[in-house]
Amino acid sequence: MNYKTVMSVCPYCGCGCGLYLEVVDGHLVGTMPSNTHPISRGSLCIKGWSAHEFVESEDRLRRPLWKRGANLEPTDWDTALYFVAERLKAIKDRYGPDSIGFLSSAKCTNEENFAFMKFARTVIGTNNIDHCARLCHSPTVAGLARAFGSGAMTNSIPDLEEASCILVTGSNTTENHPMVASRIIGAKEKGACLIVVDPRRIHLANYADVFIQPRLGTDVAWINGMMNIIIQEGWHNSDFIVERTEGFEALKETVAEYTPDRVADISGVDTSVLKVAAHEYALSPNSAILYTMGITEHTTGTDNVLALANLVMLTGQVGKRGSGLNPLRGQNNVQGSCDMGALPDVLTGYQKIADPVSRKKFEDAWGVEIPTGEGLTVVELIDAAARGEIKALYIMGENPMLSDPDINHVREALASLELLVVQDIFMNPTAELATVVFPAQSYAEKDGTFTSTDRRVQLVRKAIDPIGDSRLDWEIISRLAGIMGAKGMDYRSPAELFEEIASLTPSYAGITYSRLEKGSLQWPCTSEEDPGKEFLHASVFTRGRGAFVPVEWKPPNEVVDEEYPLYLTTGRVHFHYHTGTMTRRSPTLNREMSSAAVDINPDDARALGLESRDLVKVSSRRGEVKIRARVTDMVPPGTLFIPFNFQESAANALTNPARDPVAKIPEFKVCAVRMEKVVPRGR
Amino acid sequence: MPTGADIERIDEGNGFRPTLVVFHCRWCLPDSDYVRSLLPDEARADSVLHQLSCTARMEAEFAIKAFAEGYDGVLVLGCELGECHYRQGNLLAQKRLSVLQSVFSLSGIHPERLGFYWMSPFDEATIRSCMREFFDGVMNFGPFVWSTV
Amino acid sequence: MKKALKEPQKERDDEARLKAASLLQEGTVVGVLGTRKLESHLEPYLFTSPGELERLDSSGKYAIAIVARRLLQQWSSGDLAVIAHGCDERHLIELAKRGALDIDRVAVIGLACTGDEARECHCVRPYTHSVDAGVSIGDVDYLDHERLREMEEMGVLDRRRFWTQVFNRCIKCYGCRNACPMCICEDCRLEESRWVRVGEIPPEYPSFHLIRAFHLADKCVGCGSCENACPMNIPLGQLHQLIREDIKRLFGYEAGRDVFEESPLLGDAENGPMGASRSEL
Repeated sequence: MNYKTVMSVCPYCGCGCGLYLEVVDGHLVGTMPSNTHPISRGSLCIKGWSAHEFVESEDRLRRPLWKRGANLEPTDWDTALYFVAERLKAIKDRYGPDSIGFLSSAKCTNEENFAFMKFARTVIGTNNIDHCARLCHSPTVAGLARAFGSGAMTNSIPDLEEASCILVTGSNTTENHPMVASRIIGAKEKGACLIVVDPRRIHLANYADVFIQPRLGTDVAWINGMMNIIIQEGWHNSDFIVERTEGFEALKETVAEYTPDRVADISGVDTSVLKVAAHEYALSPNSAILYTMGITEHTTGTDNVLALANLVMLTGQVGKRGSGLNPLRGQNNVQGSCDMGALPDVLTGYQKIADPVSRKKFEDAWGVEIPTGEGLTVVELIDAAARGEIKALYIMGENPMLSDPDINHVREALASLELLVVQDIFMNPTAELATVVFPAQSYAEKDGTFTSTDRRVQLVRKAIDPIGDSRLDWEIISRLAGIMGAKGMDYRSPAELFEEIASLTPSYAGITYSRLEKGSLQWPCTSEEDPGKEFLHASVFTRGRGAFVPVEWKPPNEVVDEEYPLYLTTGRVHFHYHTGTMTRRSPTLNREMSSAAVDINPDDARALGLESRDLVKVSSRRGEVKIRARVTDMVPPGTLFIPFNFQESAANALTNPARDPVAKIPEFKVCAVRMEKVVPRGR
Repeated sequence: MPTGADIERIDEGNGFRPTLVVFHCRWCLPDSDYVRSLLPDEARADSVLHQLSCTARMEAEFAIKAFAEGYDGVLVLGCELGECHYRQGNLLAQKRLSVLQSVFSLSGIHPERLGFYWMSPFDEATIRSCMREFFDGVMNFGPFVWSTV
Repeated sequence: MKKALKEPQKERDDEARLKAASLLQEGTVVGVLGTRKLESHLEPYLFTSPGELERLDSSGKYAIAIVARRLLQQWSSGDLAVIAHGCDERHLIELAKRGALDIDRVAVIGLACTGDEARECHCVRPYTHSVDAGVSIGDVDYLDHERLREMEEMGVLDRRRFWTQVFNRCIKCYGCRNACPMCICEDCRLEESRWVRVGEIPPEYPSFHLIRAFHLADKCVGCGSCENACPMNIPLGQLHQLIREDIKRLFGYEAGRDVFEESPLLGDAENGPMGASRSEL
């Protein structure tokens, strides 16, 4: 007769809510928000309240699987591990280490990401490691690293409530970062001004003091336009510019071209409204910008981020509470997986592979040479696989068959591999194509750490015993490394892994498990006495002076034309999380939403004679999708919205894989489609 | 869902025809057409009528949904207290509807928009006058509109 | 209204520990349900040995009746002690009244809340029937709670404006329902798409909130857990508490006061519908 509540972290989004897993006699029976946790403060969203529902599902992968013939058949661990070890070695010997690629997991713990990245670099000897952060905030990492020297959220979720002005752009905050939306409401109750800029009329727009609806893919234009107004009116922070930045003159010259007329022409934004927003944002004592995929998932994603960074520096709205530039990270541990260096060009803490000093430090610690040269990114790996240059992929906790753009291409690529290893908790379209599937453990069965969007490192605690014969991700990697004869991968516990991480990563150096027992710590935390940082860039930017990087507006890669006359934008819904492997196995969430719908503006619906619930076919140059219509004024005329979470009506069958040249993020947010009504047979 | 309009102005209610939902007990008033004929002229055409097996069958959800869908008033007609075919059904209903009125009042729906009357089926005059009284009350408050956000 | 972290109550903790220890030593209970303070958080906990009681912290507030009910359901025998605030005891009584919990299997260790604690929850009866720990401040008139008074003084139209605006923030987390010990229906009305359309944010208005408010009218004990669970600062507890006051006025009835006091919204026990009395059914 045993009851316990285990304090852990929600496995869904980047808010990082603290919740109790309730365990009665060894089974997970529910979750409960933690009253004392700085993020959840006694609340959870519907996903958090349902975070236990998928864990003990019948569908959980319980045994390793091996595709010897046409189908995946159950097998035992030794067989599976030895087979993979032998094949990896053979492929490496025959084609070279760079013929193997690794996709790490933004859902797995820091310890697991570190082990995976170390495996790729030391056991195989390649830098071909990347993960889904590529598809969401890679422009943030690239852009902010250049402007500020650090790509992380500058402030913290709790202090956002102290902002006197909040500008939210490209973020459907109430639906995707509810605990951040909670702070926005709190700030509004204290009299803050809320500005929402989004091509869609999102839920948060109901609360906006100023709501601006620019055309898709015109962010650089309105942001430069806002800066144009600010400079014209003298609302910029000259002291800040002089003391803390460089490159202002070049910026001033560029934004001078973004006159109200030009901005209105490109983006459709009315000058007078933009002026109100500019006034509020620039002159309010503490103004914060929040943004997510609406800014980043474009071929100009890096430019969009740089433009926002320029705006922040122009007005000095950074380095104090309730301010800053705040990219809201999506996954529960995507901040962590990036911090752990599961990226093709950096080691932990963003220490560059190209930097000989950093590389040497790791080589000394690991006793192995680290490959030089930047590895391939997520979409590049798929393309290389399709071309036959990548022969093997090891995918941990990712589902590119639903989350990558142009999934028909992804299928071809994965099918052409000589070896596909998938490590996951559930079967999914990616795992179905695998040669070997390793059954892994969920967040409720493991100890470790997650790092949430405001750089907050927290302990994840094991609540129940493993399901079936699943194993811990880091144990699988460790065992595989051992079989392949590698040294230095023989870990006994997540704590051991974490100690190694801290020893190699200055921003994590002061974090230990015993300190984390007392509460979360926000990096940079450089020593045991360091309490961590609530907000960054207080007196100087990470790189010293902030760099203004002027950017010009460029149109999206694919624009509408006669053949494909409607714009498609994609995104998420509140009730499901990403590719739905967990949420679509949760009865509470499935009951709210069990399938996708395409959002259509009433004008467009009328023109096609459509009503809600009608079946339509949406096609692009990449593929087609059949899906039910939902007529709503949330989307402007001429634009459709499809959530990407549902595999049977996969938005990514339609999306454009064209990439941002710097960050390599695909343009999920804009492509051209056409739509027709599907008339069922027999009518 | 709320669509914009200045609530004060609208609630003054000049020249509007209330749409009502009327729930009537089958024991005292079995015939919906008959009940409709007793409604004031202005309400007759657009009102929606539902027969219930007893007013005790009346659930809060019915009235809440009516207001969610934009009806202006909900009227419940049942047997005289003491005459319920199921002995206490209408007594229960009366208590339930009083509580519902309190919930409405506290959340911003004029409780007078939910009317309940217990009457003899033979007293047509009283039925008509109760309906008229309820109708005039709703007229007075004007169309039911959620305020803008 | 987001609750601030509470001040620890050392004396009250000691008194609760004494009572809990004696119950554990007597061996009459499987465990004592309360809250325990760890370095980084305050969690609901089942104390099963006196040694664990050192970490007992009575300033924690979780709707502990939910856990009590779950455990009593799961474990067919054995008694439970519950360290209960006034509202927790009312939950236990109300749940027992409705046959959802066997009150004979529960031993209450009664807490009295401080004035500050009562103010946080705008509580009118911040103490248990018999107080084992803490000093009772007695009843508090609901009108002494500013937020309740303000709301009561609002006109109907202002109330509509207010509730429409705040309910529009709702993200249908179901936190209000999940955190409420009185929301025990297996087939929750709020989940029926007939009454509340699914998959909408904000949820269908006012259906989601008013259906819950009505259903709770004769069950709500005024604990404020719903309000605490709401991430969007919707002052739900205030609405429920004012409805509770109306019920008091209309019927002289208070949920959670007495296990034998039947709700006015249920049939008469003596003269049930169809004339059958309870003993005949």
